[in-house]
Amino acid sequence: MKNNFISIKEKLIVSYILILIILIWIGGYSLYTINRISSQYNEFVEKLDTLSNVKNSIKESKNSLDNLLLTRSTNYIDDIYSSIDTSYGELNKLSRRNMTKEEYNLMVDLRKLIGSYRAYSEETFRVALGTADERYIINYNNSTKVYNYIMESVDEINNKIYEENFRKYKIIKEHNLKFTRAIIVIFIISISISIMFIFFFSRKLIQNVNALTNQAEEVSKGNFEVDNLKIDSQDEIGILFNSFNIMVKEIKYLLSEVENKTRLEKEAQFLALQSQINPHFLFNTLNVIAKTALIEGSDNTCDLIESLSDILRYTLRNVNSTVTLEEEVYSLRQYIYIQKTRFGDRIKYIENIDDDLLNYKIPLLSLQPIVENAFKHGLEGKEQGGEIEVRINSIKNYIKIEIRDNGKGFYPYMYSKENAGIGVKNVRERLGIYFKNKSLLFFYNTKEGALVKIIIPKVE
Amino acid sequence: MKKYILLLIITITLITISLNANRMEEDTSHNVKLRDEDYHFIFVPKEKNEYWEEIEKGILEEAEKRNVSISILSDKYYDKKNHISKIDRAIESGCDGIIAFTLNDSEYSRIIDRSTSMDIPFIAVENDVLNSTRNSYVGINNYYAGVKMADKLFNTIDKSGEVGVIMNNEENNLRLIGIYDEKKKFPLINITKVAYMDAKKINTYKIIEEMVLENKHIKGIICNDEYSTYIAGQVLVRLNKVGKIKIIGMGDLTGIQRFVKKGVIEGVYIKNPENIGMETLDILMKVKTGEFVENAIFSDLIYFDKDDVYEE
Repeated sequence: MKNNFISIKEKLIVSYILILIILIWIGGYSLYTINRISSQYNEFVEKLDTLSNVKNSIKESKNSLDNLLLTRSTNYIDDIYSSIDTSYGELNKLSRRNMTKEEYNLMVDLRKLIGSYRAYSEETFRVALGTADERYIINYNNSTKVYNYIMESVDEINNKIYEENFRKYKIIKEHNLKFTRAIIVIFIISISISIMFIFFFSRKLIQNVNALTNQAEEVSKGNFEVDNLKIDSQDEIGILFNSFNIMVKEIKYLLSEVENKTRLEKEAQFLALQSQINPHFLFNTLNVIAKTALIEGSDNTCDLIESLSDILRYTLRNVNSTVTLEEEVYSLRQYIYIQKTRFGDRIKYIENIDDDLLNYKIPLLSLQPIVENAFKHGLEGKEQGGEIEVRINSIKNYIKIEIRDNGKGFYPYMYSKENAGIGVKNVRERLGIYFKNKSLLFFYNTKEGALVKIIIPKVE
Repeated sequence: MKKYILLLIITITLITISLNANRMEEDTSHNVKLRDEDYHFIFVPKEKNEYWEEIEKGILEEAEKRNVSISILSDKYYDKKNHISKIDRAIESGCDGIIAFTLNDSEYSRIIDRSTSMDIPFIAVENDVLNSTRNSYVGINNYYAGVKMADKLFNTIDKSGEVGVIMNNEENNLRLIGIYDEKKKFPLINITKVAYMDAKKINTYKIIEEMVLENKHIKGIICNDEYSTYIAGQVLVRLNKVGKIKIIGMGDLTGIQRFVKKGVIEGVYIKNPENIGMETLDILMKVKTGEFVENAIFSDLIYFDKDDVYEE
């Protein structure tokens, strides 16, 4: 069967993990979009900055050319070239950036325009510095025209970058809007589920705890007739409920056991009270009688009285105490001795006992009432050839005690639980209590007579 | 309990997929794998509108196939001086070839000659520059278009009555020549007025309205571009002249289609700008590779009227 046990700890851990996953996703995705926006923005700003540098370099170059023409100084030639070279460098930087095909193509044109501007400028100052005529004007005008084209081209690329960036911004904005909606939906769902979870989980937990508290209160008042707590929760609360149910059942059982024990004690006390003779007086008297019989030469009488004395001493022990099988068998032998004296050769007593088992425990007076029954009901009417056999053997962890007689057997109703005599009943219950219901007591009618089987666990 | 974690991970994965971050990534990063292109051409359209965007589309499509890069130098509105300056800029940038809108006049003729003198092939679009060294002309046969439009209108108004002509620029004289040549075949037809749109087309509504109001007996108008065709339709509706004045126009803007469907405009001639764009690039490639090129490539002109407009 599948074990559905899920602990509260596991439930809480899974809840935390779920929340953590959601938070990690939201955080991660937010970081991703922020990163995307910032890289987009950086890209945009850097492109504009580079383009601005191109523009400024060309402007500087143009200023240098104008100054050269005004002053006719060759000092400006380097400035013209270095400014143009700077603009080329900036263009190279720009070409390494992310750009659209359109931007790239315009940049290719711009590079060529700068080349054209350079050629016109070169021709301008070469003619201007080399000759005295005004032919440089044509080249100067051309360089100015191309300069304006460059400015126009830079502005166009600038516009393209802006347009592209707005387009990208729009896409990112749309995406972020979708993302925001997704987050809102996830939040709403998460919060709803969390509230539901907290509400139902707490409600169920509190309900269960309340039910358990009420039951516990009832039990603490001494009312063990409470209904079993029912729960479908597969967690610690479920275990607690089941344990509580088992505990109540156990207490009920123990209480009934205590009651039984008390009742049996009372019965034993009642039996003892039936012969309310001062034990001291009784044993002293028996001692006097035994000694008198010995003096008078009646050895049998002396032995008989001593056996009786032993039996009485044994019997008058606390009925709840346990003895070894050896002590129980010894007491039984005393009882048999007395009975044999009474019945003479009409009764034959056979013992078949495994000596290894004699140290195991058994409640006091477990065997004697059974044997007494054999004499009473089985053999009393028998003129001769009566047999009583006691067999004690080991079966694994159990001891099997068989008490057999060849009497008339017993009527079926006699030894049912309800109709058994007080002695047998007492034996059955005391065995049950002592061995925690692990003992068995059977009554059989055999061909020869009656057989009583007692099976008890080995208890040292 | 693991199934809940798995379910959440699956849900989050699905949400992530639905957010389509990849697409955003693709749309916002342009790591253009720049090819080593064979040629770099420059296209200078007349202005920015649907028609020229279609031509641009055709050029770019063909350029992609032919491993050619294209720069587009365009202005929102047509201004002759700026337009010629753009062509000059293209020449100064030393590109491998130029495709540009032209008018049949001396200024365009000069700039084209400058381009070809610097070994930059030049393809004229829309109007042919007859006295120039342009390598080829791609577009409709404007003379023939004039003839066709006039013929269609004259027959529509039963070969008699007054008609007006709306021209999109003064330089498109071939179209007008075609119209007048066709008129010769219809003695009862009288071309009352030829009105010209300004560069930014701001006066379009006004000139059509004036044409209608000042000429009480006008029976038809020929509109030579899509914008004037659409505006003419609006004027007829507002002045309650639908059915009384017939319009033969040009272009297939959505608004025009609606007017044709409703019978406001009698019919329109439609060019295939995308095809024109493809043709120009094809011709330019032929020039670059030294193949024979025809002097002029005339693209198709299709007539559309009420019966041809698709039911939507």
